[in-house]
Amino acid sequence: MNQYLVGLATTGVIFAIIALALNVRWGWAGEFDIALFAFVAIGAYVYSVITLPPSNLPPPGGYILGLRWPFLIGVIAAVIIAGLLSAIAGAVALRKLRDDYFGITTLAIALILALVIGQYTPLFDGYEGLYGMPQPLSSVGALGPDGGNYLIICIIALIVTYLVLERLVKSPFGRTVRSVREDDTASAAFGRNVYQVKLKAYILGGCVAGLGGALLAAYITAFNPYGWTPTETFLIYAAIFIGGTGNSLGVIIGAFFVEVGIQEVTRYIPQIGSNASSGDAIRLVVIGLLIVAILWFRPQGILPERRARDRLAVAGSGAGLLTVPGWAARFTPPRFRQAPRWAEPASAAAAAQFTAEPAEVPAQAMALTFRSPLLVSVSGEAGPAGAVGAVADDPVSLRVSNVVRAFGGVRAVDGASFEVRRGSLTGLIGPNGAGKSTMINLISGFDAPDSGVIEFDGKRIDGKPAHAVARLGLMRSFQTPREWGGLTVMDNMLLSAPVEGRDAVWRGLLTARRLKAAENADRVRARELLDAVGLLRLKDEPAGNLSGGQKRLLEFARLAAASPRLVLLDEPQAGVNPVLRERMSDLILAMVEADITVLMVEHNLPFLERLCGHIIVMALGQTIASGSMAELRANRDVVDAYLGQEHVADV
Amino acid sequence: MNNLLLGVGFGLVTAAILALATVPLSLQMSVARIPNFAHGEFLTVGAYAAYLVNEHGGNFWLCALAAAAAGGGVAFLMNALLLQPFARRKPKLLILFILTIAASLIIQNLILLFFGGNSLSYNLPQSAPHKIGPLLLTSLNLLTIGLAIVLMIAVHVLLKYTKFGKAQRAVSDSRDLARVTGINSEGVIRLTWLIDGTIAGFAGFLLGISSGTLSPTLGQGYLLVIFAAAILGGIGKPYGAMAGALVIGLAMEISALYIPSSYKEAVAFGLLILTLLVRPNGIFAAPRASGAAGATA
Repeated sequence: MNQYLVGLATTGVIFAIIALALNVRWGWAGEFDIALFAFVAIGAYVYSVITLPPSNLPPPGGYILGLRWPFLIGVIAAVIIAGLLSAIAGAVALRKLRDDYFGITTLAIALILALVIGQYTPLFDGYEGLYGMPQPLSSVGALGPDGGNYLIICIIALIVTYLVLERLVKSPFGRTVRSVREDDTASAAFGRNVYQVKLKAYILGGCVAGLGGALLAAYITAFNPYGWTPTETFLIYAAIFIGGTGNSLGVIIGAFFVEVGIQEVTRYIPQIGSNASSGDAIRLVVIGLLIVAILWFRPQGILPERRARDRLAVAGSGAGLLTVPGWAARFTPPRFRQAPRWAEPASAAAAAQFTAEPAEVPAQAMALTFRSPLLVSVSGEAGPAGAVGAVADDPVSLRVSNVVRAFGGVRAVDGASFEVRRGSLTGLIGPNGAGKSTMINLISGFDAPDSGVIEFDGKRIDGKPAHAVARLGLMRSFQTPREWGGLTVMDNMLLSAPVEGRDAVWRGLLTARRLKAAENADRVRARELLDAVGLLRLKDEPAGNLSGGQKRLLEFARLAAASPRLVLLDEPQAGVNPVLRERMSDLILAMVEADITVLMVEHNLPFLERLCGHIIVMALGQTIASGSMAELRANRDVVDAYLGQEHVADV
Repeated sequence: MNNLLLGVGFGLVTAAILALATVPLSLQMSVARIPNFAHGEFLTVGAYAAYLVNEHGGNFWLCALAAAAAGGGVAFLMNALLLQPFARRKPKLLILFILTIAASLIIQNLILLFFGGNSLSYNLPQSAPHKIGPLLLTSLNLLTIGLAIVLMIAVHVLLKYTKFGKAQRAVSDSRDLARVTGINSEGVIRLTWLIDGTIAGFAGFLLGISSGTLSPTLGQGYLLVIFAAAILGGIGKPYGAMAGALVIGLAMEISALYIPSSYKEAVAFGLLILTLLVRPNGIFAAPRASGAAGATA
């Protein structure tokens, strides 16, 4: 084979691996990382000092270790150390930073690292860099140091990386990571520790970058700090944008295009005058223009991110006879691959729903859907609409005592206290600025009170982070629905269902098939819930494409999928048309019927009166009254608070 | 003690240049709100424009004028041709950030293409050192500090007493609200970029003088120091940026007395990271004031 072509291919393959690393961070997790090449460099250095013989450079030069250990150990060490350093850098940079500040912080970290490595010569020989790294298999066969043997190693590494990452991105872990990219607030509201998830993605990306670095060092057999300016990382970004953010295959194509294609094309441009850098300059101008063009004309890249397909796993089910076994499925054309509908191991009732158009389902039936994982026959008469009030001797589910939260001089919540009884549907009202939304944030853990106690089912939850509160079974909605827009409706549902540790990295890696089977129950239930809110036929659409009202309905279905014990609804009627309003009240009643305690902030008082037996009134950060709507109407303080300032000023 | 004063002297000069480079970034970020990665290139463009004029015999003032004009022109065009068309599509903030990175790649490498990668330097008369109180400064140093002060006052007057300043504050507060009250937001933003680039270009010229040589990465190499000063003072707060520049400038030069001077940038980067972790809204903001902002819809 032509040595030149082998060299090009090797470069392309190595950069494809590095691009896959950045795709984990940016494409999956949405982390705008500018430090990627620092971790490639770490991988390269670690590989070098482990495989090189001991340093015999005169001081102040030199390098650490020099163990002369074999290639594979060098690569593994590179992966581990790059991962470890990513953990440290990520732990610093990922702490509650805005996306752009995160990018700037990673850049600062990368530059500090480059500065230290360049200046502190005993580590990796400073700016001189290391050279003479051994390349495996270079002496075997006839192709010499730039031969095809090493290319084969790199291709194997690329394939393994690709398969591992594909497996992970399709696993619950991948789904969780991508949810954080779409809307991390929503991820926290559904029990994900956003910081941890982001850190995991950052570390995973670092490990892959370390692998790329080791392979790069062994290929070019020399490495110094000049080889990893921020520009290198931007080139990888260009590859990702062009290939398709989030799509591994696209990213590989993009890497070849940017690192090999453009290089080859611009190679033939003659040098301009005495300017030795003119070729490089033109190449980078072209890449800069390409980034702009692709973001304008095709922001999703050549190959867009793949949408998850909603398919029930068939392994281990009674339908085995009717479906193609897993190994054979790989060779079966896609249209034959999907198990026929009637073979799916769902209940007959659920199966019938897939074909039927969604119909209006009465609240009672919905309640059953919300409650049980399987559809049982609808029984009982429709209860009286509304007046799902607290019974005085029901146990207290949520207790708020003397909670204070001030923003600067404004005491948004100023000593509020109230109780919500288990199984009740309680309203929380008050004029604008009464502190209702702040209260919701404090209870759900999106904010911490300055003082006071919040207890949920006997446990103190004030100051606990949102994801921890959600995991206890206390969930919330938002004034504007927060869906994971780039993920399908079904993915949104699956992300909302209790995850029970299924989104661990190792599970995604090692037990992919078992996870799929375990997810079947979630999928079936999700379909039932989507059917109940009339969204089943949209289950494979990106949730971001839904209309405002549909997003609200999806939010209810997601909350039901989460099966919480208590739900905080923050103005569920905001921006909802009158027809849908009726539907919403049915859904809220269905939640209560399904034994979910509901605390609802709402401005629509007739709506509240119809639904809630017990209503709490807040004004100026304090709870001023509570009781039935009739009682509140008779309460002078409440009328004052609502009827306006002059009334209050008279007092 | 003598060394310390020397450090303070250098620090003041560095801070003056840094303030000239940082205040326009902060001004832009208060209005257009774009974390601009190409800001360093505005400086580079200014420095090279000054070089061209200097090569044809231009003196300090002509060079300064050319630097300001070139910087302003590039910033204006970058906004008009690249950022505003994208901004009309209401993309995510990060997309605009990435576009400025692309712009930085393009501008930097066009400079590399036309001027080559070799270091260039100005041909300006040597300036004599003066003893000002305990500090030892050259006339050029004094001029730099003086010009920085004059321009900072000019920015202050602009923001506080002109119609543009009023409109600028309105747009900075709420772009939509400004628009419905009849303020031409896009026009204000365009003008802000022009001012941004003009001051930055001039700062690039001074940076070129003080670093002795020009290279196409002159501005980019300085960008993170600028961000450090801007973030320390609170992004989008031009007055904070002045203070941030003073702190970073002095910290860099004084630290160079105690640790190898090649690490002085690391000091700035370290301060940057520390600020972002402890006081992400700058040293003048209360630590927990906007805690709930992220949670409300």
